[in-house]
Amino acid sequence: MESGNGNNPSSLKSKEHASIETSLGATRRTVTIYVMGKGYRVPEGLTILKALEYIGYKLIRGVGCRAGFCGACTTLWVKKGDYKLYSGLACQTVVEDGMYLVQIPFVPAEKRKYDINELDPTVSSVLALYPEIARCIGCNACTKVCPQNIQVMDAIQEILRGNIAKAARMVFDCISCGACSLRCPAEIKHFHVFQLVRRLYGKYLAPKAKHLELRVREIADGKYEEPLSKLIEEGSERWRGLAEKLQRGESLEED
Amino acid sequence: MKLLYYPGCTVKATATEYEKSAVGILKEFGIEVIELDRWICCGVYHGMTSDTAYQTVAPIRNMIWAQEQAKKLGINDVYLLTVCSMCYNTLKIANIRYNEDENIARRIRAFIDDSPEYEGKVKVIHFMQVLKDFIGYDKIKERVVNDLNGTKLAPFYGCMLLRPSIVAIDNPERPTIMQELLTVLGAEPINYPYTNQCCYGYLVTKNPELVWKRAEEITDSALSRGAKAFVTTCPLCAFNLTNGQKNAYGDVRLPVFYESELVAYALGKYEYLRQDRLELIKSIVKGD
Amino acid sequence: MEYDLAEKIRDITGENVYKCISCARCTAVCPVAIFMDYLPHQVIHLIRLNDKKILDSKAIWYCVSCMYCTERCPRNIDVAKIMESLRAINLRQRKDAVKLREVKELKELPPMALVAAGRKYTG
Repeated sequence: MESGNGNNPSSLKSKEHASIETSLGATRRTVTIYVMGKGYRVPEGLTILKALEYIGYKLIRGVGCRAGFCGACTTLWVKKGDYKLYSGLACQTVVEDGMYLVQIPFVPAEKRKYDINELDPTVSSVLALYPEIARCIGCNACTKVCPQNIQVMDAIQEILRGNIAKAARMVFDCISCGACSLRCPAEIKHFHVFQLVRRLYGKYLAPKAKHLELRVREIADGKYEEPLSKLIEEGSERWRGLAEKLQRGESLEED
Repeated sequence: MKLLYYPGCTVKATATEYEKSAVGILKEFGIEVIELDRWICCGVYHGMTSDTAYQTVAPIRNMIWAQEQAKKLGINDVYLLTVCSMCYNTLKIANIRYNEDENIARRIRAFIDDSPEYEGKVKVIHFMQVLKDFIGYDKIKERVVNDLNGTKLAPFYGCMLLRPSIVAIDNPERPTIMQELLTVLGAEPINYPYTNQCCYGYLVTKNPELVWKRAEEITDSALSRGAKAFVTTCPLCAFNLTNGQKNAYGDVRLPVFYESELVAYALGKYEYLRQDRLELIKSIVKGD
Repeated sequence: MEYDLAEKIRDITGENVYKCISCARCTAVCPVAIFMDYLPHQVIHLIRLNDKKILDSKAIWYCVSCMYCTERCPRNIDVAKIMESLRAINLRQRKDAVKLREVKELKELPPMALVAAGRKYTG
């Protein structure tokens, strides 16, 4: 990837100052951001992701769905005169003047191997796989860096308190970005622990969808074999006909 | 009376019978036990190095939440109840440290920037102290319906209720608070050299075989004086003594009870006892 | 880096090992002294002699923080705290005494045992 030389309009050395003229003749104000220590001027209103691409980065890591869901583009930044560490998803966060940022495309963390059928939904099961959660000192660094605003420390502590169901529901929004694990002095890999807890909840604690179980059994018993094979035999003409009938609002009873 | 309550992680996991009996008994004496809405693991040891503050952060967070919840509930004189003696020790010493070491207090106040400041006014107490000082042993004696039949019991204080002396709930060398309680319940507490000795605690994670030997030593001593069971306030002591006996003898010769379970039994309040624990107490008390 | 052990311990704990009169009461009450390669009162003495081999001893990892030594010391030295600081010097250099994931019977242990191990045996 190529970045910042005198010819790049985003370079701080370029002749453009507080504004950039777009190809359609409009002017956009600019802000200055620093990517891994190097400064660039980018149009305000861009997301960090768009700004990185404006600068000239071609992203093959640290980018994913671009829709705030996958967690690949986690970004950390500081602001001048402020010691706090901020975090957010690059695809969702709008650039601010003075942002001093870096992307975190990957956090090393081991996921323990386990058979969910051999576990029970208790804190002891979680501790047996991830005993390091006992090292949590309550520093809250994890919560402070979570781009999804999850109460991470409280979630880990809810597990230690034995409230697996509550913990699982608290961490629904986790996108496994790993920023929490990077900051944790106890080296806890929160997102792996949370995945285990969500799985335990889903399998053992969440209320069962009875209608789903019924339907699965019906399918296994072959209730839908005949109509399905008939449909497949009859081919796409028949399907189209049926679909058109449905669109017209007619019932398919006699079919 | 409203009493804020700090359970601790173990009481919620492997020592649920302790909480069930303790909270139930206090309810019987008109004390409403209110578990803290928000609490985190105390850290088990308050942190014995003076140059670091990190071990004190978790206990102080708990103090802050107790302080704030007390304000919401309109409680003025704030006591924080613990049943696990380890939690008692950790929270109490952290409290003392915060109040006596202004340097540490300042560092912690600067670090915990997401909560109100801790004013240092919460008082940490243990369940045994509530029984003796808040309720009074004579009141308990009045309500005993299942006298413990003179059964010989071995009080096992362990370390954390008695040491260091700034947190001791009784004389660290010759404690009597548990023996007095057992006598009130109609049991006969025995005198043996291990009553305030260490069960080897967390050594069980590194050298469990030494812990099993220690449990054998302690149990042999209690057995030789006719004891039928241990009485303890610490879930780790309970685990070490119970598992130690299993590993040393193959079975548990002296079951380990929490003091609250015996109080619940003696007061005839079986609803606060787990069925298997009730059966065990019955088998010990009725004599075998 | 060269440093004086007694001074470092004083920085970490505030305790002054030179107060010790080697009465050995701490050793007498220590429940795990029988396993130690250096007894508690010997540990204090080695610190005074600035003998860093005490940092590699087994003794400091047998200590269970029962606080009996501190309780008994006639000179009011917090011996348990000094033991902790020797552990802390090791743990702060990432020399853990136990691998948490290799602890036996992880599933049966009360959580407080794991928390304690996390604090005392790992850094």
